[in-house]
Amino acid sequence: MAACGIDLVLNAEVSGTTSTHIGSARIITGSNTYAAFRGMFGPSTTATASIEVKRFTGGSSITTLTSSGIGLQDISASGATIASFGMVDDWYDFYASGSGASVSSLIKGIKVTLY
Amino acid sequence: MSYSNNYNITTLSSSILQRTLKGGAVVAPFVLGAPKRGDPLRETCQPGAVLGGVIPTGSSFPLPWSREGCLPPDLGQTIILPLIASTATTYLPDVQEGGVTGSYPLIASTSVIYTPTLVPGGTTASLPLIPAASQIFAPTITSGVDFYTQIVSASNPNNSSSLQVGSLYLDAQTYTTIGALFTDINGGVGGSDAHVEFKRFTTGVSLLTLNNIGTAGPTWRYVTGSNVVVSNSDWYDIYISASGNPATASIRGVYYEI
Repeated sequence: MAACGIDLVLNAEVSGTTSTHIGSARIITGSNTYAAFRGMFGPSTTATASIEVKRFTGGSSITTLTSSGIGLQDISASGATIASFGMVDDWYDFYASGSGASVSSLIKGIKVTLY
Repeated sequence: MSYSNNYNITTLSSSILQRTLKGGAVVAPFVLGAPKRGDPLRETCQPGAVLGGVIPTGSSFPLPWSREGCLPPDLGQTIILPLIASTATTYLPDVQEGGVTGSYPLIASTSVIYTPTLVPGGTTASLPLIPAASQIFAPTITSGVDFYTQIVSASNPNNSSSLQVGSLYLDAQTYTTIGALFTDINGGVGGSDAHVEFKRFTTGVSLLTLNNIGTAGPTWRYVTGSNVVVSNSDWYDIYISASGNPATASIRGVYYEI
């Protein structure tokens, strides 16, 4: 499978610091070597919002994106090898949380790039 | 046969000119035997010369690099041509048909070196050396997995009443796999069978129903249908429901691959 991008559209809001499941996607890594994660999300107040990617099978953490400041931001992390992420063909769960009890984390989209 | 240094191949002209060639070329770039005003070919053409060049698709003639009454110069891609055996025979250029066609610009100048442009692909691969010259080597096209996945995060607390949680536009074709990740989350323990159904929007006809019959825990399961034939390109609505009461069917995402 050639390089590809997986665009996940969602409209989620998570209140507080409890890591909350916001959706899942099945990712087929194919013959690609690298993966990169990107998200459009952020806290509703000056704070920090996070998205954690976990593998469905076993629940191991793949990576975490963090958006600090206020409002929606385009947050991307450097790509890394699929092997270093510990990724295989599987479902991956996305969890969101905020840095404070009164923080609302807004998530509008997630992009996974395989290359 | 021997050639003198001063000759005209006038007997070939009417057969070669304006012939339609395979592969889109319209006219051979040869104007053998059609010198005007008595121009002899001896000016630039010698018998047995090595000629070459690719005939550009859609070219108009004479080409920029051709001269009336003469053959085109060597353009770098050499084709060895046999000597003309008889002046009484009609000779036509043999253009081999390729796998694909394309548009190519005319060569703008004879003083410019034209080299092929390599376009980077998505992946790299190690290629073996060609082991023998007498074998035919054809490219192998390897099929990959074409898949789609999307977050569908929704719950339906209304027991067995179906709730539409989204729609997918599916083209008419056979899908190797259509699946979803879902369960019953009622009370944090589940236990009722959960269902995801795909129904065609236009007719309401069911395309596929997926069942998670082991939701206790609750246990999220990836349930799939294989080789699903979609006969009509259309929107297909996604419904979730459960069998028990109380029950809350919940879905996390959908997936299909071709």
